[in-house]
Amino acid sequence: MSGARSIVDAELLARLSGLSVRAGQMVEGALTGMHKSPHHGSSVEFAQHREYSPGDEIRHIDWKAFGKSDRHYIKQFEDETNLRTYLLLDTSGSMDYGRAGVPTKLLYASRLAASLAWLLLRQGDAVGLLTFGERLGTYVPPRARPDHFWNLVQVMEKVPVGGATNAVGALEHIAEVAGRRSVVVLVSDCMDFDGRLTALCRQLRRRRHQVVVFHVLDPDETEFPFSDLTEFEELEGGEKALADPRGMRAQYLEEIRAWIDDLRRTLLEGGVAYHRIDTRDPVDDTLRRFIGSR
Amino acid sequence: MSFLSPALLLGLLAAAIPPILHLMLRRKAVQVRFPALEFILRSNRKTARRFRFKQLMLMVVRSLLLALLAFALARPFLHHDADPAAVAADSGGTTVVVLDAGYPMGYALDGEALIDRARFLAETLLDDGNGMGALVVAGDRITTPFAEPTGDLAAVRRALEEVAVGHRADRLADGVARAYEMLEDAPPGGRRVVVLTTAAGAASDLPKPPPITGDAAIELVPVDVSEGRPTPNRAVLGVSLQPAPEMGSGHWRVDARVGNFGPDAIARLPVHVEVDGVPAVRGFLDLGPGEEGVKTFYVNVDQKEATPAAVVIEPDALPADDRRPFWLQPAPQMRVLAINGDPRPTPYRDELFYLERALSPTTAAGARVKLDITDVPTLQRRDLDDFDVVVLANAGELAPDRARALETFVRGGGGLLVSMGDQVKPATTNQLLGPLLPRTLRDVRQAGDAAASAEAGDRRAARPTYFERGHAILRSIPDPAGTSLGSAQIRRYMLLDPAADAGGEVVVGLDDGAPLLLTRTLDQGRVALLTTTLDRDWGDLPIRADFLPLLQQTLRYLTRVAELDSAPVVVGRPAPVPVEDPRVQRVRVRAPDGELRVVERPKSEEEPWQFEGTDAPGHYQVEPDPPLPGLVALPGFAVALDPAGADLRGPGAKAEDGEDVAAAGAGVATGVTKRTELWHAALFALFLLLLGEAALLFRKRGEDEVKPLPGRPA
Repeated sequence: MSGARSIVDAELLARLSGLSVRAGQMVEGALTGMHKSPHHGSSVEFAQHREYSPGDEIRHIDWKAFGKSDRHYIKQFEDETNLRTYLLLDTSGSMDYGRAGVPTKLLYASRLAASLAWLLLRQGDAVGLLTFGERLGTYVPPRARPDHFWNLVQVMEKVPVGGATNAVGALEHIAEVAGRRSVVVLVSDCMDFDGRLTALCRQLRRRRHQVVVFHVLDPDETEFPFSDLTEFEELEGGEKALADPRGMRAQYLEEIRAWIDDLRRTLLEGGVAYHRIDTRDPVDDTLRRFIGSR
Repeated sequence: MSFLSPALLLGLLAAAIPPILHLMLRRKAVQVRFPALEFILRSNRKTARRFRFKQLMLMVVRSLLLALLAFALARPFLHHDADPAAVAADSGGTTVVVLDAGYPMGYALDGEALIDRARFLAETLLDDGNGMGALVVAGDRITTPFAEPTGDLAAVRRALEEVAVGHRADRLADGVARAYEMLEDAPPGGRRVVVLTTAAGAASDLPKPPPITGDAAIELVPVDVSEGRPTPNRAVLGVSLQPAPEMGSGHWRVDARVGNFGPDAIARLPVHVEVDGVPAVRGFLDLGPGEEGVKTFYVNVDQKEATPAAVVIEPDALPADDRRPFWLQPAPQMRVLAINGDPRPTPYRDELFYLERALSPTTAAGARVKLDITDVPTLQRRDLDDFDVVVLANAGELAPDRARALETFVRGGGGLLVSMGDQVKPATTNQLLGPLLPRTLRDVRQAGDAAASAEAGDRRAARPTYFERGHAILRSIPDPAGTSLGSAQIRRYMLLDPAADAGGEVVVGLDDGAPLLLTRTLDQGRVALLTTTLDRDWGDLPIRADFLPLLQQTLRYLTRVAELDSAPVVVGRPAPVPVEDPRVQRVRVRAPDGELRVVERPKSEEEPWQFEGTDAPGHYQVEPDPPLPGLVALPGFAVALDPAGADLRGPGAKAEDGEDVAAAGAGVATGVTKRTELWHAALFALFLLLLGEAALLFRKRGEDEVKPLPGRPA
């Protein structure tokens, strides 16, 4: 499923104008910024090489190294740095659900990611984006240019929706491309939550990345307000199930409560910041709560 | 099981509606695309079995609801044996309660009389009924407190309280018939006659309801108020009296017939004869189950007046039939003057030898005959008014004044027996006694005389073959031709002139057509003519065994002394009043309770004296009104209960007692059934199913409330 979605709300951005995002720990960045760097000394001293990945600036390719090894390497420097943030946006089929009058989970997640990117870019931090469904989608490397915001918005608005959730694959990819200490923001409904997902989050954490999970859920998923005999069809796989919502509601709520509890506990134990998002909540409120918690 | 509206059973098809709806709704389930299907599947796995069971139960309950509704609307009912409790559970329509108030309903079952049980059941019926009601009491009379069914059931209940047990046991069928009449104008629908009676009454051949079909049909529900419980009873069924000369003068043999209508044998049942309120003779009787037995007593009657007596057995649950009254009548004394026309020195050749033997106290116990014998010459000195009967035995020529005296005597109410013999001259006798004789004498005939009778030419003696059984003389001899009278040989007899206007009545005739014994009434007296001798000169009639009762009955007839009829009259039936004295124009009958009722002489001589008011068992005394001097005793009569009511058992109990019910119960209604409607139970089940459905649909309070999920700050 694909289609342009308007995710930029001028009033929303105006309400966010007074906010700033600070990294909860030291981060590594390429530009001078407001976040403390773990490196001391001159600002443009060479630090190390890193293998090129799509999206890296071509001008940072060390052509000399290429001449010696016939492989593309990027030169990295030590300096006071800005915050590098990777936004991982879940575009699986399950995100394309929303109660009437309430934005879909994908729309809400996109607005949340765009707003966060706008805040970070405005304060000079670099923001990258990786969309994923069952497979990896579009990857936009982190940039700190202000006009990078529109690149991100354009990608998010046009990203196709569908397939199963594969947050594990996205995290694995980020783990590879995120060379410095970064902030990894996963915006997803975590429908593929399992041990692998939490292991990856912990692995990122061990690499000194900050991992933040925005767990986006529709109120229908948490309240299950159905009453009549209903045939439920899965958004990702097309599987169907006939059920009496009245008869199974209590059991359903128990199940999803346990699942959320388990997810939250596991992530928190791994040092991952967990935020459950209700799509009825205004985005700015969600961001304020997020910023306030850091 | 049957149905009043079987067409409504088509509604059972409605039971298919819930499954059909279920399938339709299943197809029309709301389609929802939902992300968290995994949790639905997981929850569904845990709840699906319970959910499917619940859905299945709901479907079954709703199908049953619809089916039960159709079932109830079809008004099912069951036929089964009548049961008082079930009868009481019925209601509606018009119910006529026929309450058996016969004396068997006085039976005390566990200390409670059956009539009280019946009254309670009737009240229950009326209390539970919501329609019209009426009451028919089948006691001594058929009484209906209300002319037609009424809605004022309280008044019917008040009338019930006044019902008392009567003395009859034969009015139940009349009561049921009366109930049918009362229901003729009742609105159709639920017309019912409930008969509250004994087991025997419920199984008796009650009148069938009128042949009406449909809603207007009348249902007959006989109810055994004893509820099938054993009602053993013993009763005195009958008393018969016979003279017992072998026991001495004035002795009577009393045969008491006692029945045991119960499942157990009775050993040494005390039975006694009560004379004038005092036990006179006691005895015991052994009776097997369902058996009847006879206990014989001998009672000496010394009194000159009639004495009330009764056979009494040990009281049981129905004391009314444990006593049977009867009168011990002293035989009325007959004063007989016999005129011997042919005295002989040899006793057995004497003309009156056999007459004397027949009327002696030892052979005529109970007859109390006072016999005086004289001859023709000395007849002048006797006052005929001192006698009731004069016997002219082979008397020759009488003095004319004596003949006139005899005529006066007869016309005044005396009796005259004239017998023939060699001393009797037809012409003279006709001249002197012609006005008295039934027919004039013609000549002596020799039986077997070919000249006199061609048919009798080959015979030596004539035989009595004709008997007028309706005559009072022969009434006590059931089959005279079969007795020794029929074999008597009459060698000679007096031929009589045929006289159509003589007024005589032939009582016994010979095989050649000649009369042997004739009677006639003359004013207030009677005359009998025996055309042969009282001794053996002309035949052997006097030595025949049945000559004795014949002679005694003839004398009783002539003296107009009532016969001893000891058989009691059954309550409610007319009792013959034995008044023979022509002077009596009316009598007063004193009932056991002391009430006096007057019975007038019937307008016609042919009509018998009868007393209709035999309402209660006991001794009834008869007195001439006004009292007449010198009147021979007017015997009273006893009234007893109908022994048919003493057996309270139904066919089932009789069969258990080993009696041949099938043979005895021909025509008895068996398989008495009662209808029990089931729609009440069906509606109750419907109500329970509704409760069940509500329970299945019940959801705990708070089940719909949403608890806050973790991970989301407030």
